[in-house]
Amino acid sequence: MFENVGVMIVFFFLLSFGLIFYGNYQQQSIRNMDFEFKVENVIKSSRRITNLPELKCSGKISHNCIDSFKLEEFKKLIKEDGDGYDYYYNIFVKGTVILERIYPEQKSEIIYNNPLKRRRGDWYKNMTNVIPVSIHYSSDEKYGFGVLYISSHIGKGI
Amino acid sequence: MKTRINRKMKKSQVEILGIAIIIILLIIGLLFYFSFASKFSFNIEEEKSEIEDRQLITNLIDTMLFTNLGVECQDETMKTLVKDCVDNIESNGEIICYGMKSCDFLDDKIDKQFLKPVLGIKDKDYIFNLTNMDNNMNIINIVSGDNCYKKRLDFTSTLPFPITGNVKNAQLRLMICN
Repeated sequence: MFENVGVMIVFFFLLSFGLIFYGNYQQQSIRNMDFEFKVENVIKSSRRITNLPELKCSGKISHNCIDSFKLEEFKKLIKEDGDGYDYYYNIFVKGTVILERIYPEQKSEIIYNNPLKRRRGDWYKNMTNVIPVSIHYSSDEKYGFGVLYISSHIGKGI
Repeated sequence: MKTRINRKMKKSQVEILGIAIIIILLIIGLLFYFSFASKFSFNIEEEKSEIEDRQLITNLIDTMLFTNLGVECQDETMKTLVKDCVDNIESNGEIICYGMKSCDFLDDKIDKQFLKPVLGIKDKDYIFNLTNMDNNMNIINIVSGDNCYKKRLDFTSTLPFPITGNVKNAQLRLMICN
């Protein structure tokens, strides 16, 4: 009788220990999956921006290229009170897109700005994706060099 | 009576030994599973970041070579300047750009204006080479970061970009040191 009770106690002790261990492991792997999913979304939206017909250079250019004239119009469209704000919000969600013109001129400009509003004491993990781009000046058919910085919110810290 | 107690003790000793063996096997199995699972996920992560790095540096070289350098460089592109440097390596190039000969200009500006703003911000160490294909000599060699000086170098590289000059041929390569 006592032997049986002892064996049962040991068995349930081992079982609960295993379940706790497995639960923690699963929790961690779900967190990792969630994090990876968000990171992939940032990468996807980064790729999208260089392939938007509203921004992309016309013609047979295979690499990342942004048309300078198109960009000016795009900036008006994507502003918070612009016509396309809601549409582009679905692509860029919470984040910022900055274009830094490096060559020939050096100038930094914000294309999209909608960072996550923080409350006091909160901190958030952000991911910044860097994409080198050619900037096409169609008035004199020249190409400059710039970098797109696309940052997005990927998780809440504790 | 004594022999019966001894027999019972022996039996329970054997049972405990059995449980101990089961627990040891369970622990070995779990260890094996976790080490395998972590190794597998690590490989996928490594491969993903390698593909991303390769895309980044290939884009970087593409956009860099396409850039027009302005009136101060006789309105030439970076690609033309590289070709000029390769063809006229003995005189450091013929095209004058911001008061410098093409090879000197490339040596001075490639890192500062093209590589560092992209790779520096991502904390990547890198090697940039422009190599003469006829004698395998480096015309331009830029090395940035401690990881590139390791004895067993592990790197992600672009495919060599062929630069075909009028007289000589060269190849351009950018590598990220992991």
